[in-house]
Amino acid sequence: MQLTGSHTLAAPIEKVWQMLMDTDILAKIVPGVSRLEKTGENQFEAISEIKLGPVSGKFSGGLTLSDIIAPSTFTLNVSQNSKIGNADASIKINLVAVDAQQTEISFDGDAKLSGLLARTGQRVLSGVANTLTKQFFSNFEEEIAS
Amino acid sequence: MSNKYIGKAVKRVEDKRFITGKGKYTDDMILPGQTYAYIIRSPYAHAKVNSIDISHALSAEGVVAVFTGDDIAQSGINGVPAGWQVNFKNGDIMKEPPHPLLVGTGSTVKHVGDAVAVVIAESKEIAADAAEMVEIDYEVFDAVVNPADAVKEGAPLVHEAAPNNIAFDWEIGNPKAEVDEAIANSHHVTSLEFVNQRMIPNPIEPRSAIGLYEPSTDRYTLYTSTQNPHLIRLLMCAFVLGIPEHKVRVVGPDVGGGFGSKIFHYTEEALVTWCSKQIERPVKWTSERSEAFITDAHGRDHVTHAEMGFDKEGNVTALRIKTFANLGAYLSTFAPAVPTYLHGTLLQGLYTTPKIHLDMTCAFTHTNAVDAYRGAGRPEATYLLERLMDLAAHEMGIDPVELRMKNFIPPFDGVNQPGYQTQVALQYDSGNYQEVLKRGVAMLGYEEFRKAQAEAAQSNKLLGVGFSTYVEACGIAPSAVVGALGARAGLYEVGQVRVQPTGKVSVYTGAHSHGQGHETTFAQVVADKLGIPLEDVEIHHGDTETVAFGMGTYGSRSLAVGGSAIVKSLEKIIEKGAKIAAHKLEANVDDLTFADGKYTVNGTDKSVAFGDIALTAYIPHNYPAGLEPGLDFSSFYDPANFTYPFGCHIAVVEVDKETGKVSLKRFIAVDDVGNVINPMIVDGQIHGGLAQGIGQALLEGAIFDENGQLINGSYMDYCMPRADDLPMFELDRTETPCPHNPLGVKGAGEAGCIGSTPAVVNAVLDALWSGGFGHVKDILMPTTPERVWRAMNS
Amino acid sequence: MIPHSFDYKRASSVEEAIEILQNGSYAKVLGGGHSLVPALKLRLNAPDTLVDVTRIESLKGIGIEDGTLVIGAANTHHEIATSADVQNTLSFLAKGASAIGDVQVRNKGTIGGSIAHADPSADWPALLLAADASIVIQGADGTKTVSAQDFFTGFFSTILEETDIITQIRIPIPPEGTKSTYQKFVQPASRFAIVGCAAVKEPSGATRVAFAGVSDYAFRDEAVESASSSGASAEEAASKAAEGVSIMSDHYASEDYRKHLAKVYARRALVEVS
Repeated sequence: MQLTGSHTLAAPIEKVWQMLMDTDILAKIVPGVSRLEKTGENQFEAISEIKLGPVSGKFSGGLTLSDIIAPSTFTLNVSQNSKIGNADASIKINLVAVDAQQTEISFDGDAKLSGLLARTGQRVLSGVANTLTKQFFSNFEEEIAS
Repeated sequence: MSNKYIGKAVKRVEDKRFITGKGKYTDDMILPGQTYAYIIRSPYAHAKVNSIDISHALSAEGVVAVFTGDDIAQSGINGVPAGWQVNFKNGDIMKEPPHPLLVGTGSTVKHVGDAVAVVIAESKEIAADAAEMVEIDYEVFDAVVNPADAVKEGAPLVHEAAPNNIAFDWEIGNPKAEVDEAIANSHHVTSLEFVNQRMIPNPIEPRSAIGLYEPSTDRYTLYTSTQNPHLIRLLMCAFVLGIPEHKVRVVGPDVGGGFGSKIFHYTEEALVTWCSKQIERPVKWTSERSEAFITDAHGRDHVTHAEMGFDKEGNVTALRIKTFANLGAYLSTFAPAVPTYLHGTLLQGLYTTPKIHLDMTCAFTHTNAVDAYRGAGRPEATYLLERLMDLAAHEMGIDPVELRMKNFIPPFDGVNQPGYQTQVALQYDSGNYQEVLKRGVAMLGYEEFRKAQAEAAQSNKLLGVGFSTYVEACGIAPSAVVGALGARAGLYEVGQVRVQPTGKVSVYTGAHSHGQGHETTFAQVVADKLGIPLEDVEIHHGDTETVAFGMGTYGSRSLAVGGSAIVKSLEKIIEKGAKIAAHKLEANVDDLTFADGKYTVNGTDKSVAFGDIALTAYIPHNYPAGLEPGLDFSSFYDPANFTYPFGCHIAVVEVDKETGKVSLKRFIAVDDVGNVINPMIVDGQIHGGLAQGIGQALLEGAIFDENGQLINGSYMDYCMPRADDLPMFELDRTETPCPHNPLGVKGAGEAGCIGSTPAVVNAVLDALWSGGFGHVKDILMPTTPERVWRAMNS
Repeated sequence: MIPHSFDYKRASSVEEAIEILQNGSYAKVLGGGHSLVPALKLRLNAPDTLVDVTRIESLKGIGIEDGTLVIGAANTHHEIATSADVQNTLSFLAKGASAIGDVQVRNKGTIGGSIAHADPSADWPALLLAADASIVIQGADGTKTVSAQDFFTGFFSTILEETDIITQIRIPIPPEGTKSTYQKFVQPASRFAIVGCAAVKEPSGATRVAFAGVSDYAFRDEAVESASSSGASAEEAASKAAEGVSIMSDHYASEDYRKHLAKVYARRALVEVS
C-alpha cells in the first residue's frame, strides 16, 4: 500500500517539527493511535484501534523514528500487529518552510500488509490510504489550531 | 451384446442425493466424541518462527490440546514427500525437502498459510477463539514469488538444500544443438514470451479431514475430501506417519469437486490422524474458504519463452522452448511430473514438427504448492503451441486454419495405420485432426464471420476469432512407463464385480467420483455387458476397506483405466457363468452365446437367464464338478498406453475499443474423446472444462505481491467464471475409438479446459489485429479490460 | 469462516432497535447482511450485538406520496428493481438496483443497509445523489431528513450516529420528460462498480451526474453537471469527469484506467439522457 501525500500547514517549520517530536501530540495526529509509550530513544510502544468501514481491529506494536535531521526530515517506522493481519510501514516525512508562517509537510512510504488484511482488503486499500492521509492532516491542523 | 444404455444420455443416478442436499461430505460427519482442529497459519511468506506461546490457549475453557511443530518433530515425523521423482539433467535426484505438518520453533515458514500450530477444542468456535490466544513471534525475511526471479543469483532462498531455488532442471526432445540449427535455418521464426498464470482450483467443497484413532483396536480411520483414498493411505502410512497400512482405513465420501487439487496427500490429513492418536478422540479439520486460497495446491504458473520455426511454405521446422515452472514452497504429490512428463511430452501437439526441445527449470518460491489442476501440464503445452500457431499465421499472412491443416499429422486409427511416434517420447494411439477442425470451421461459418469482422473493424466493437486444436494424453497410465519416468506408484486400476445371489451386481472401483458421474457411467457399462437393468447395478468407491485397491481419479483416467478393469472382471464373470450355464443346459461351453442377459445354446431356443446362473453359483447343489462356488471377480487393469483425445475449439469475442472489455460471443467445441458411454455426462464435462479454461483466459489468476501475499484471496477479487459470463456452448464431437482398451474410450474430463484457453486469447488478439493493432503480440492472462486497453494504447 | 460470538436481536420497532443500540457496548445494525456478515465471518469485526431491523414493518413499503417516491430502508434491492412505482417514475433506480451484485445479494440486501455502509463502490450512493434523494433518519433524539449530498461524508462514512436508524429514502419525482440512466462498468468478481455513472437530465436541461467506484466515496461531478446543464455536448461535458478528486486504484483497475473509464461512462450516460 503506497502512502504519499503533502499538505501545507499554517505553522512555522520549527513548530511543526516540535509537534512531530512530541510523543503526546504524535499520538493524537497519527490516525487510529490511542496510546504511545516511550520504550527507548525514539522508540515507542503503540496501541491503535482502526475502525474503517466493515473493519474494526485493535493493533499493537512498535513505532520508531529514525534518520532524524531536524527540522526537515525523519522516517517513521510502524510495525502493527493484530489478529486480522499485520502492517509494517516505513514512511519518510519531509518538512519545507513555505514562508515564515507556513510549512509544507510531505510524506512518501509503503505499508506492507500481511494476513487477512492483505488477502481480502485490496479493493479498498487505496481508499484506506487516502482516508488515513486526510485524517493525519486534519488531525494536525486541529492540533495546530488548539 | 446389445446396447440398451451405452451411448445413451442416462440421467445421473447420483443426482437425486446431490440435488436434494443429501450428499454426505466429510464435514457432514459427526463422530462420537469428535473434536475440532483450528490450524494457525503464518501471515508471512518467509519468516523464522522465534517462539510460540501456547499457554493462554491451552488453559482456555473447552480447549483439548495445542500442538506445535516441536511436538510433531519429537514423534520423528519429517513431513510429506512428493509422489514422483524427477532427476536433474545431470542425473542428480531432485531436491525434495519434505513439507512439515507444522513448522517448529527455530524453523522458517515458507509461504503465507504454512501451518505453525494446531488448536484442538470441543467446538470449532472455541478452537478459533483459542487460536487468537497463541502468541507467535516471527522474524520476517524477504520473499520471492516468481519462478524466473527465484533462480537468479541472490534471490531469497526457500530451502537451504536447494541452491538458487532450483528443485531440478530437465529437458526433453531432440538434441538441443539440432533444434538450434533448425531454428537458425528457418525461413520465419515466431517468438513469444508469455506467462501461463497461476490458477486457484476452488472446488465448491473446501478440503476437510477427520482423523479417528481407536485405541481398543489400534486402528485408524481417515475421512477426507480426496480424489484418491488408496494413494493417500499409502503415502501417509509408508512415508509420513510410519503406521502399518493394514491398520488404516481411508474413506473419501461424497466429494464436492477437486479439479486436481484433491489428488494430493496434504499435511492436514496426516496432522488430524496424528492428533487423534495423541488425544484418543476424533479430530476434524475443515478448511475455511480464505484458508483454501492459501493452502490448496494451485495450478499452472509457467514463465516461458517459445520459438517456432517455419519454412517458406509454412511448414513447422522446429520448436524451442525455455520455461521456468513454479512449484511453490514444497513439492506436492504430483508436482514434479506436471511441468515435465505431463507437459513436455505433449509439445508435439497435432503437428509434424520434426525438431523439438524443451528446457525446463522448476523452481521453489515462497508461495503455496503448485500441482496438477484440470489438464495438468497439457493445457500449458496447448496454450504454448496454439498461441504460436495463430501468431505465426498473423505474422506470415497465412490463414490460421490453413496453417494448421498444412501441419497436421495425417489421420491414423492405430489399427490399420500405426500410432504416431512423437519427438517427445509418446506414441499417439489414434487421431483424425483434420476432421474436428473442418467441422468447427463449418459451425463457425468462417467466411461470413470474416465479413462481419471487417465491418466491425470500423466501429468501436471489434470482433475476433481464435482457434485452438489440441491433443492430450489421458487414461493415466501404463505403470512401467510412468515408473521409468519417476512415478513412485503404479497407475493401473482395480475393478471388482460381485454378483449377488439374486443377480444384482455390486461393483467396487478404485476410481473416485467427485462430480464425474461414475455411479451412472460405470453402471451403464455393467448393465449392458451383463444384459441386466441399470437399477440392478450399484457402484461403490472411495473406501479402502471395501475397494481392494485403486489409484483414484485424475488425468481423465476413470473410464479408460477403471472402466477397463471392470470390463476385465465382467469378462471373467461371463466366462465362469458360461461354465455353470453349460452344466445347467447340458451343453458344451463352446456352443453357448451370452447376449441380452442370458446364455443360449447356439441354434436352439434353450437358454438360461443370468439371474439363474447367479443363484446357482451361490447355491451350488447341482453344479459343475471342480468349479468354485460364487460369482465375484476382481481385476487389475494396467493400460498399454495413454489415450489421446483431441479436438478443435473456436472462440468469437467482441472487444470494446474504448474500455478494452472482452465479451465472449460464441464458443464452438468439437471434441473427440473416443467412444462415448453417456453423451450427456460427456457434454457436462466439456461444459465445465470450457468454463474453467475460459475463466483462465478472461477472469481468473492468483496475484502475489512481492512479499508473497496473495492479494486476491477472496471471491471479491478472485473472479470465478459464472454462467452469465459465458455464451451457450456449441458442441459437436467425432468418435475415434481408442484402439487399446476394451471400451474404446479416451477420457473427457480435461478436454474442455485444455483446448479453450488459447482459443479465447487468440480471439482477443485477432480482434485487436483486425482493428489496426497488429503490433500486439501478447496480452497477459487473464485478459482484463485494463490489460486489453493498455495493449491498444501502448 | 467462524465469527466471534455475538447476540442476535430482532427488533420489532425502530424505537426498540434504537434502545438496543443504546444499551449494547458495541452493537451494529443488521440490514441485509451482505457486507457485515462476511466481515464478521472473517473476524474483521466483532460487535457484541447485532440488531436485525429487516423485519420492522414501518421500514418497508414502496409508494408515491405527493410527488415523492418513498422507499422503506428495509426494502431489498430486488423489491426496488421490480417495483412498478419505481419503474414508472424513476426507472434508472430500478435499473441500478437490478445491477447490484447477484440474485442472492439482491434478494437479501437492503437499500438502507447499503447506504449506511457507504461502500465507495456500491451503486446506491451514486444513484441517490443523482436522484437528489433525501434520507430520513430516526435517532434517540427524534427524526431528521438530510439530503444525500449531506449524508455521505467520506470513505465508508456517513453522518449516521451509532444509535441512528435510516427509516426512509424519499426521492422527488422529476418533471415529465426527464431522462435518467445508470451505466455501470462492473468488477466481474465482486460485481461492485469499477465505475458507475448515474445521470438525470430534466427537460430544462438541468443535469445531475454522480459516480460510484471512482473515488473514496460517491460524489456528484459538478464540472460535468454544469457543462451539460449549460448545453455542452455529451463528449465535451464527459471530458471534465473525475477531475480534481482522488481516484481509487487496485489490481483490477489502476488510477489512470479508472479515470479514463469515468469519462467514457459519463459520455455514455449523457448520450443516453440527451
